[in-house]
Amino acid sequence: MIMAEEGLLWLAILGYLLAGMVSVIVVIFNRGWERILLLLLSLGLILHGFSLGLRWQRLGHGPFISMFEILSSNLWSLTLAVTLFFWFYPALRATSVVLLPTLLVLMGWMMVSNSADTAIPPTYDTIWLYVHIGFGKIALGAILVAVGIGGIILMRSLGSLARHVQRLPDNPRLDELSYRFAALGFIFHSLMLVAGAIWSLDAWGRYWSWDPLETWTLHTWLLLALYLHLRPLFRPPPVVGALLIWAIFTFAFLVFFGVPFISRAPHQGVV
Amino acid sequence: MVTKLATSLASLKFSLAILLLLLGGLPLSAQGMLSNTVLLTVAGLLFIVNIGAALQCHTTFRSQPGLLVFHTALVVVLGTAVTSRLTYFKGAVELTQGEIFSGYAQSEERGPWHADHLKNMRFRHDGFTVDYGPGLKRGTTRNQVIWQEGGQRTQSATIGDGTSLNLAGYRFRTTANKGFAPVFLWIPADGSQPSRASLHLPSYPAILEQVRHWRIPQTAIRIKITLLLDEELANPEKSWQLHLPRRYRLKLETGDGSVNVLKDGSTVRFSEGVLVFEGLRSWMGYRIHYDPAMNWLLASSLAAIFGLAWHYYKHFSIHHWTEYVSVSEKCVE
Repeated sequence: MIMAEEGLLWLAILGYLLAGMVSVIVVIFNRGWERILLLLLSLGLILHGFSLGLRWQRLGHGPFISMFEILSSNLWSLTLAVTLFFWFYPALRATSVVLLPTLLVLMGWMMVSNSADTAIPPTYDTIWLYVHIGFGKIALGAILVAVGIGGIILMRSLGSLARHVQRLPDNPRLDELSYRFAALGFIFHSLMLVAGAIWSLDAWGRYWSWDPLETWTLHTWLLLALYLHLRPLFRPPPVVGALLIWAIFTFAFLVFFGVPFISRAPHQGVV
Repeated sequence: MVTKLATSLASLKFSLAILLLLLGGLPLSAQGMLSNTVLLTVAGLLFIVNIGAALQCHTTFRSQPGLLVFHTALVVVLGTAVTSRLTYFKGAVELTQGEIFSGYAQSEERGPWHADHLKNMRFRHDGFTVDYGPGLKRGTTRNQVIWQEGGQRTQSATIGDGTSLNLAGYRFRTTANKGFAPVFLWIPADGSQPSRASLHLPSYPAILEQVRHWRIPQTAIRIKITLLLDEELANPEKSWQLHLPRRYRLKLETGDGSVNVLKDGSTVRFSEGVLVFEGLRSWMGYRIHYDPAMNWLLASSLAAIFGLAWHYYKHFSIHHWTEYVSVSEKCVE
C-alpha cells in the first residue's frame, strides 16, 4: 500500500510540474493551452487525493500531524482552490503564472520533509479538529486566489511583464475581485478561529492559550481586518491593494508553515 | 464639540489605530513584556467605545442589517473577552491517589476580578490507567474521580483526554504529567502528632529514573528515594498500559551512607522518629480552567461572523462576481 501511496504522489507531482510549465507557456508565449493546464491540475488532484486517502486509511487518521502531512494536505487543498477558480473564471487562468509557483514551493518543501508514519494523539480525536482544519484550508485557498489576482496587477506595474497580461480585465476590476476573495478568506479565517477554540476547549480545557500558532494566527486575522478597513477608508490604488494582500499572504504562509519550525507540534506543547 | 468628539470616536481611523495598537502590543505580550490582560482590556474597551459611537453616529449601520449585526455582536464579543480576561482562572495541581483536592492550586494565574470559588471545590483522585501504543505513543487516559454533588450525593466519573470534571464552572483536565508516589507516615519520637506525606516521583515513569531527594518535614533528615521495579513497566515494542506496579521495592539512602530497601509497611528508625513506608500510589497532574464568559463569547463570535457573511453577501450581490472578469474594452498597457 505504501508503494501505491508513493507512486500516486509522484505521478501527482509530475502532473503539477507539467501544469506549472504549461502555465508559463500560456502566459509568456500566449498559447491557448488553458484547457491542458486545467486537465493536468485535475489529474494531479485526483492522483494526490488517492495518495492521501490511502495514507489516511493505512494510518487511521487525517494528514495533519507531521510537517509532511500538513504540507501535502495543504498542497492538495490549495491546488483544489486554484483549480476551482480556473474552472469558474476561465478568463483569469493566466493567474496560474503567479499561483502555481507558490504551490510548487509547497511541493518542493513537502518533498524534502520526513514522510515517516505518524500516530494521532488522543487530543486530536475530535470532529472539531476536522472542522477547524477545513475552515483554515478554505480561508487560505481564498486568500491564495486573491494573491493570484493581485499578482496580475503587480505584473502590470512591472513594464516588461505587462504585455503578457494585458488582455485580462482592468486593474480596478481585478482589485475588486481580489478584495472579495480576501473578504471570503476573512470569514473562513474567523470560523477557523472559532472552531479551533471549540476544539481546544474539548481537548485541553481552555479555548485559547496564546501558543505561538494561535498568537500569530490572530495577527493574520488582524492584518486581514486592517486590509478590509483600509479599502473603504483610503481607497488605495490597485497596486497598493495588491501589495497589501501579498504581504498578508506571505505573513499567513510563514505563520501557517513557519511556526511549526519553532514548535514541535502545530500547537506547541499541547499534544 | 460633543458631536465632533463622537464623530472622531466613531471613525474608521480610530478603528485602524486600535487595530495597530493590538498588532503592536501582541508581540510584546507574547514576549511577556506587556500583560495580556491589560492589552486586551484596553484594546477591547477602546473598540467598544469606537463601535458604540459608530452605531450611534453612522446611519449606514441602520440601513445595512448585516453590518449592524456584525458590529453589535462584535461589541458583545469584546465585552465578553474583556470580562473573560478580568474573571478567568487557570491553574495546575497534582493529586496523589486517594487525596482530596483541597481547593488550592499549586500554580495559578487569575484575572483581577476572579471571585475565588475554587476553595470550595472538592474531588478525589482515585487512580488512573494510560494506554500506550508501540514506540511509547500515548493513547487514552482514564482517570477515576469521585466528588459530592451539592455536598450530598456521591458521584463518580472517568475523565481524561476529551472529558473534564466540571465543578461549578471550574474544569479539571488530566495532563500528560502523572506518575508514582510513595506514601510515608512519619511518627515523631517526641510524641507529637504523626504526619503523612506522599512524594511525587518524576513524571513519565517509563522513561525517567524514579529518584527523589526529600527532607522529612520538621527534621534535618535528608533522604534519597529510588523506586526499584521488579516487573517490566513498559515494552516500547508493543502496546501496553501504564498502571501501578504490583511488584516493587523502595531504596532509601540517608546522608550517613546507610541504605534500606523497603516494602509496603517497612519502617526505618531515626533518632527523631520512625518513618513508615505505607505503599505506592499514583499521582496525576490536573489543569484547572475557569471562564464564565466562555459561552457568551462563542455565541457572540458566531453571531458576528454570521453578520459579516450576511453583509458581504448583500454587498457583493449588487454586482455579480463574474462581472469583474469580462475583459474590458480598454486594455492595460
